Amino acid sequence: MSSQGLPLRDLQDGESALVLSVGAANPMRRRLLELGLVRGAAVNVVRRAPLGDPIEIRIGSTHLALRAADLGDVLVTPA
Amino acid sequence: MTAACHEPAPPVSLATAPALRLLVVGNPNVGKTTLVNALAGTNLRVGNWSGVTVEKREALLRHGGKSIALTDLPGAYSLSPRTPEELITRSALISEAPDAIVNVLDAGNLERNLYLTLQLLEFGLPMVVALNLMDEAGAKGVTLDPAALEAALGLPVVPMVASTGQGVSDLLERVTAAARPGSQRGSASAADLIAGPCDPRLPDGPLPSARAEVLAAASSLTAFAAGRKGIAPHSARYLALALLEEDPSLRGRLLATGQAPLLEQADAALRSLRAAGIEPLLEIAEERYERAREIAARAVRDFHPRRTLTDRLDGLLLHRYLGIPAFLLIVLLVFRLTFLVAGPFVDLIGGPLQEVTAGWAAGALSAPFLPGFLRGLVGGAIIPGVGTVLSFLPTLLVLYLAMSFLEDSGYMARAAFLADRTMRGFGLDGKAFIPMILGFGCNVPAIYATRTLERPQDRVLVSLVLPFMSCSARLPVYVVFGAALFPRAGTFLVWGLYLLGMSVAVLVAYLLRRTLLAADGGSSILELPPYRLPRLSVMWKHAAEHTRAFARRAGGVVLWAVVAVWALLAIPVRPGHAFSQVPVGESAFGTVSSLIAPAFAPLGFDSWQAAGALIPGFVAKEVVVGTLGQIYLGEQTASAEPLGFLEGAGQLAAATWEAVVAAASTLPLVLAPPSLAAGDAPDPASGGLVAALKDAFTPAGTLAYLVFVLLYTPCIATVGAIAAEHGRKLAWLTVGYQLATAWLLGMATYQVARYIL
Repeated sequence: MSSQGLPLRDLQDGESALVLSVGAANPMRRRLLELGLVRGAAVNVVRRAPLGDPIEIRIGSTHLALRAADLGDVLVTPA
Repeated sequence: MTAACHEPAPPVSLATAPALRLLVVGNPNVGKTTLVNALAGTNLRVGNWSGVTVEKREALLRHGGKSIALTDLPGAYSLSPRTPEELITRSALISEAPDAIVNVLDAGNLERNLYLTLQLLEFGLPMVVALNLMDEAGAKGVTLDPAALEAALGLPVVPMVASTGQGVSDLLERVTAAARPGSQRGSASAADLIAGPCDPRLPDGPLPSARAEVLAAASSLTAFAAGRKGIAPHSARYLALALLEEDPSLRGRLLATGQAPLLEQADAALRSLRAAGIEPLLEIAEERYERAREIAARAVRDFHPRRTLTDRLDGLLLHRYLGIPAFLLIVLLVFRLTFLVAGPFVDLIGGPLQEVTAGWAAGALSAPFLPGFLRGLVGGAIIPGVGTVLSFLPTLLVLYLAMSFLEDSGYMARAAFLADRTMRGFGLDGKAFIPMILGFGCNVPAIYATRTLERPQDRVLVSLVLPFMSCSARLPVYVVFGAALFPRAGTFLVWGLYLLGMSVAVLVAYLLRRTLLAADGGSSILELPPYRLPRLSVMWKHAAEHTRAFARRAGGVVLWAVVAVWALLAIPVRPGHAFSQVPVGESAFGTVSSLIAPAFAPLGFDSWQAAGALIPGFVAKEVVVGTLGQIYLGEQTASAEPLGFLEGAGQLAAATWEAVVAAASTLPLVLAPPSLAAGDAPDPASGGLVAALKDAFTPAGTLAYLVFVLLYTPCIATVGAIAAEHGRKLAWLTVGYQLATAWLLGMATYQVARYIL
């Protein structure tokens, strides 16, 4: 695993990656962890809404819609 | 929310109690409602949680000679609540000590669902896992081994498909057995999954030292909590872990119940962990997911991901270019369906039914010993007033069915996804879109639906602007005036008003966001659940419930409003007229109305009749039409010809058959290409009223009147809902500022329209 990782929102539609970390300042950190965005989890960017935001991601079989602004400090590394 | 940590209840109190008390807990969208419906059948009672207004669904059923009390808790992803609904679920678990928990799991999404299961296991309560949606899991390509899951969890596991009833009786069997004292339940070692260092059934890899330290801290905090008076023994371990996770919702509750020493102990543990560079929240979440993954790995036999129907549908419905047109088309379809299918029944209730009832009443009340004004009250006020309101039931029922379909099918969440970016431009959350759309049906449930929003100030903001969404009670007013003054453009008029209401709502939200309720855009997580075909019975139950509530209102508040208006119309203010023999202009109602009428001169309708009809509209907007009918037509209806019972019944039967045929024949029109004629609003049996309004109003004044009716103070029930959710102050504020908004925009409408029309 590379040490820095890239923000989840920078993935293209259809790309997959592994979660590295959710930023300590993320307002939804607790809930994101609870929903499975823990270190090592596989995550997939499914699509973006028509106006480019929010972003639909898939983690396990869960599909979540999150705003790009909230995904800036969710870091991933290519699977 | 009443904190009740101080009720130490034994985990199992069954030996003497006649009823088993079960709590049904699960993630959102796992088919919990369907399961509860399948279990409870017709026994389901829907009420509210004491002190709050989230729906509380309870049922009392019998199984094997035992009575079982079932409480369906709001869906929750975890026991660290983010919304008031999740808070209710957590509070119930901490304080209620049920005889058993039924944990509903989505078989096709095991890992995430097990996160909650592991949290539930921290409570030392008997538990049964309902492994629901087995069919959907199969479609996803997941093959499960329930027995393996049972072994891994140490809990009874019942595979089910709640929507077909499969596994329901098995579940009842296992729950009754599990709740018996001494039977298999979340065994001590299973409950230790998190806080305990070793579990015989799971491979015990070497724990990273940080994790080991957090778990050790959790164990000693659990011991400390369990020893304290006022902490229910079954919740000690959960509390310890939640405190280490720094659950912000817990502190106040514990302080209020005199548990400050526990907080101090937890803070000390947190300090020393943090000093060592350890973050308990992260460690605990990772530990739970690691466990969940291990357990899921044992239970999942086979997984060949397949492209599901949901994937295919979303490819279209959330498509970058097609998504929004599809959304608009769906909304259009819902509205057409509502008005086309319901139309003939609206006509039936407003027309023949009302005429026949009036005829019967006239026959029954013609006895010479009855005072003459009774006939006027019943035939001239109650029947037309309440009848007009009731004529709206079919529309409401169809609208609710459609809304329920969109919600239960999973499409509403997609609508929120599509709308989020736009809504955010106005300072609203995409999720606010759902309550706002529901507002088209009725503002009252829509206000309660704001509870799905996470931030309290977002809930306030949405509740403040929601009443601008044109609820179905306002529609009869548009329809009658449309028929009277804009017979060719009725559809345009109605659409325009709906659009105006929506625009005012988002613009006011935007202004409030810039001023009084300033805040950043906030954050939002929205789950896009798999599409599901809603069960007709569930949809029906839901729609019928709300429609019944509306009907009850017609018999309650609306009836009294109509009687009050009638009485005011009957009381003479000047001598020379007898009670109920007074010309309307000289009645008490006319006098009061004349006093406020000048306020509406700038809006182009300053007749006392027009202004007067708005007053009872405070009670419920649908009364406006009823009152107009009373003012302009009262005497006509009162002079209905007496009808014999059989004669009336025959007329009714014929009219009902006609309505059914007419409704059936409109179905193909729903899918027909848009044409204004097809969408033209049904003309309720108000031919006389239509003619009267045509003479009394100018086109420009009508537009202003309708704008005013659209925007002014929501009905009493909505004000009550806002007061219940956010306090009286805010409710009064809503009343005041909406009255002002309505007046200003009504005036603007008139001043512009009178030069054009």
